Amino acid sequence: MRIYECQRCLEHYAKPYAVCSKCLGLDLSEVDVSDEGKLVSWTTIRRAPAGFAVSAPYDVVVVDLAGGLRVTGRLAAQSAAPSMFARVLRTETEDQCPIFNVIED
Amino acid sequence: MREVYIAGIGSTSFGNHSTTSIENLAASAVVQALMDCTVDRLEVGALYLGNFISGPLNGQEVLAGIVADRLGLGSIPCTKVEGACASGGIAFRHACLAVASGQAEVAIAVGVETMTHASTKDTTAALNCALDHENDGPSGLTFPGLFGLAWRMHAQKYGTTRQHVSAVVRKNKANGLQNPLAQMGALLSEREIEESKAICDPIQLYDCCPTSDGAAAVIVVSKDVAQRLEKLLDHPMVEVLACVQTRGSPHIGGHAELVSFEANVKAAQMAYAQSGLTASDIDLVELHDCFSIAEIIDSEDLGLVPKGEGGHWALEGRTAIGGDIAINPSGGLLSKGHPVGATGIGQIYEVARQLRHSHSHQVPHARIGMSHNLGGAGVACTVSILRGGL
Repeated sequence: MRIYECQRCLEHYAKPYAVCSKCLGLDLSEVDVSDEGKLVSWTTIRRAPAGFAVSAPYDVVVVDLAGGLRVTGRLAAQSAAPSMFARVLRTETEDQCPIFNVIED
Repeated sequence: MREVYIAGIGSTSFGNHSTTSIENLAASAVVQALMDCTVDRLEVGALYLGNFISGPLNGQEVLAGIVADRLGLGSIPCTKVEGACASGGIAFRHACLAVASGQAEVAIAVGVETMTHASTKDTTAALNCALDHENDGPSGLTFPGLFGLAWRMHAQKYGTTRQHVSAVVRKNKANGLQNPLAQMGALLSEREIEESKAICDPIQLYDCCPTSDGAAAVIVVSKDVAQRLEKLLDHPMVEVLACVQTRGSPHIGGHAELVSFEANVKAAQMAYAQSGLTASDIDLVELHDCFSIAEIIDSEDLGLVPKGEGGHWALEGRTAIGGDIAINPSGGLLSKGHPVGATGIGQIYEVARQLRHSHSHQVPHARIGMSHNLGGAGVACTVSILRGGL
């Protein structure tokens, strides 16, 4: 999964910030990290906000990536059911949103 | 900084005011507050207006100046402040600062929002302006969804159950029945709550505050003015012992865990330090229960309830009037309503009325009260501590 790393202090960000909010460094580079992560919360959105392209219902998830970054994403429509601390894998990115699937043991 | 007092308070009911314009709604709350303390409008040195979404929902900005125009105020600074759901609390703080700094002897803090005229889709989109659109927006998250995520984390960490959260809903809905300004007081059974419509799991319909119109205003004055007014009025002045504002992360990934908001914790610490008081001195609190689980999180963050025990305290009746600490005797946002920009001032109105001992749902012997207003995904927080009497 593509994330952004400050070249001065190595802090990670989910989005391409212009400034590192930790050290004010101005050089953030794209880096690829593992697509695996751990599900730490989820909820089912039944009414999407106006102008949002995905039709409800869908599950919004909070995932701790293997590298330590916590990101907000969505569960793939065909994913297995979520459960606390389930292992998940990012399979695609849709309109800036990482899409995860629950890995069944 | 100088001492600051609340001399006058005014509020419309919270609910449906769809036939009234947003500026007229705000002006009517201010007139009530001015009349409540007999302050001449020409004494007013500054006006701060809390509002969140008059741009997208009403097509009207420069609202502070427009409201001042309708009230015939002088050529004074009139400023709209925005901090999502904390807009009202921030407006109050600015009014306090204007008086504390000596820039004004009298300042108005007014909050207003009108939302019921808009469709649910438009309202949701407007409220979503308070999400961090780089980090959380692309997922299709909504605010009920944010608190659904928080609930699951709180449940995982502390074992908080549907029954615990329902106790908050039942208390606040029942409290609202005793408040003539409240939009949706109700006596609800546990079963009615459990069987209500699913919104954003585990959030259900009764876990959500309603969509509301409303306005509230307070008149903030210096000690000199407070002493003059107290001789003329039959209600006591309310002293502002602390009024603080903090920032937290605007997005989910920036919070250590969603079981706590760091802006809450910091604001409470600062407010206790500023007032020289501790949590055990607080007789009542009006806090930001935009969703039922938020009351549990906030009450813990403010140090009023031990960490992880917010649900237990609610279930045991310890947060009702007559318990250890009265939380949201007004009914809170869940029951009184949440006209977003008005909410923070509405909370000050409620606490001041309690400290005047003139509330329809009075906390006996209330002497010290707190208000707490939280905006966005925890990005802005205000906490005030008030005391009755000069």
